Amino acid sequence: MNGAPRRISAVTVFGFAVVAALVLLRFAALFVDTDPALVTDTPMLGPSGAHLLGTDPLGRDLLARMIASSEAFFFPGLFACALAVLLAVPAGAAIGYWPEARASAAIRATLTIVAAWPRLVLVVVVVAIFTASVSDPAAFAEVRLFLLGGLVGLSFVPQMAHALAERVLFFRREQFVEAARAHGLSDGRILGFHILWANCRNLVLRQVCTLFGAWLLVETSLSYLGHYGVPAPRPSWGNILADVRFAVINTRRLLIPESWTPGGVVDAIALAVNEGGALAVAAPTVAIAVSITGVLALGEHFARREEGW
Amino acid sequence: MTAAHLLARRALALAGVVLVSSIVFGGMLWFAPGSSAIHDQADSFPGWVVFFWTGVATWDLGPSYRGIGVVDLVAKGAARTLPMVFGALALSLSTGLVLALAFGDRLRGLGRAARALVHATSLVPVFLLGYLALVVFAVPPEGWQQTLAAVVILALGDGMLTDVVLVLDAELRELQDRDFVQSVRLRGGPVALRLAPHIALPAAQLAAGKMTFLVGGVLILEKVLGIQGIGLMGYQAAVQPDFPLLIAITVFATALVAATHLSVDVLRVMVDPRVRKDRRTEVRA
Repeated sequence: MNGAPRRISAVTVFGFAVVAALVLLRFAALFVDTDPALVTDTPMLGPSGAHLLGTDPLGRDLLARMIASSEAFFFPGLFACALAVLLAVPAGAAIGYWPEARASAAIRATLTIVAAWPRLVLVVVVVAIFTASVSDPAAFAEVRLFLLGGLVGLSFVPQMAHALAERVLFFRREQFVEAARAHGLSDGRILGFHILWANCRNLVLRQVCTLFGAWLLVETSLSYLGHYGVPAPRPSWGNILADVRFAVINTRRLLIPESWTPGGVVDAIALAVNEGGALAVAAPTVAIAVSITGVLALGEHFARREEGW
Repeated sequence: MTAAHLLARRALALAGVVLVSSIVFGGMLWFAPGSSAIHDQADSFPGWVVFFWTGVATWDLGPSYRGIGVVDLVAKGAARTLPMVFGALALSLSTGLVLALAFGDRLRGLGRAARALVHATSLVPVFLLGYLALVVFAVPPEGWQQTLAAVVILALGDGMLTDVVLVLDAELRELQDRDFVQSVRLRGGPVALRLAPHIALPAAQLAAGKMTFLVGGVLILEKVLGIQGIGLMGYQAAVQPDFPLLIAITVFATALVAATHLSVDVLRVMVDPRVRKDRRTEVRA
């Protein structure tokens, strides 16, 4: 081992920065006074002191809606991750450590069946049943979000369990495991501490990041489509984008400069931002793309640690 | 055990997966409220399972909510969706292979910048790319431009191309160090030709693994672009709700994923002599 400090890569910094921003956003939502559902008579307003990002087609404050959107993905996403870890870690550890056991064969068969279900198809089928089962779906919006999170987490279990099983299978043949057995350590301690905790935690963290990225993708996609995501008037980056999708034609028209001089381009951008609702289009688009990329970048950081970079 | 036995066993296992999936999804829909349409098809749930698989065999699953035959609707939707799915797979794999070859150690600064750009674009969700295609490029609501846009978006979005490039890049890097590649290179022979069978299997495995995500992506993209394929039909069937059509589409999607895995096994038997010769080798998904 040399004493040189480990170089922190741009990917790591970006990943941690985005995740920190998502956490801050969630806590900022608790302190924002502006009602994100409050309709006013100033639709598609440009940025101003009263509305820093402007307003949407119903005159609602865009910044407040962007911040409040964190409610839609934060805790349901953490629930998805927790559920996947709770199911996948024991399953993956068992089939990796005791590959010949009958229980492992049963777990493997179950994982194969779940892995064959396309994630979004599973989500749509179950949420359709849930929506048909309750008399007032809007009243159960919170439950539906956690149900969505649970389904995404469940659909991710085979991927996480297989990755973990492969790693456990590799380590169970290593000499340190033989040595631990010779010292009389129990299988539970060897598996739980020496294999899972000491050698597989970065793998699990990487998978958790991938899962959170997948959850953001599913939540924003379904909210954009309208029926199975976050119900109006509750905000989600997906439904904020859906609300402004018609305004974007105006934005596109205003963005074409009258002259291609630097001044003309700046004027066109200013006009699109102030009158064309460019921020209403750009804010959720950038938020979705950056959040998913950032969470996956953090996963890449754990992947590098796993490989001993 | 011969390769034929291995494949037969694998096909049986995958058929089992589809059967169990139909029972799980069918059970959920059978016991859900508002499922009168599938209750009309049989008196009990086991009876409905028999009805469903007899219907699959005889090409008659009864009418959908709209009164049109379920099988006809699924066939019509599949004819629209499958070319897009397989087109996206082919485009993604071929582009990924070219990019993986181009992103080798030779192109340091430019290669890294290009890789970052590809990854950043590829990590954008399919619905966002579809949205941008509609509003920026004004993709028409039908015609070949729409299909082409869908193929490109599916090949690129939801991290598809990123994953393909990463996996193929890792495989190529590993292969470059092998003795047989070094000797071909020293002799001045066609390296790419020798690499092709070795890269075909990981590429096919990747394609099979990506099929579940592509089916999900299709569901979203067809809704965004208004393409009358399996995805949009499935979404509408869930909203209406049209449970006979929904269960048929769900089982079709699961069967598509299973069939892709089986194709990979066939390819493995074709390109990997160890699978044909070694009795102990198991074909794994």
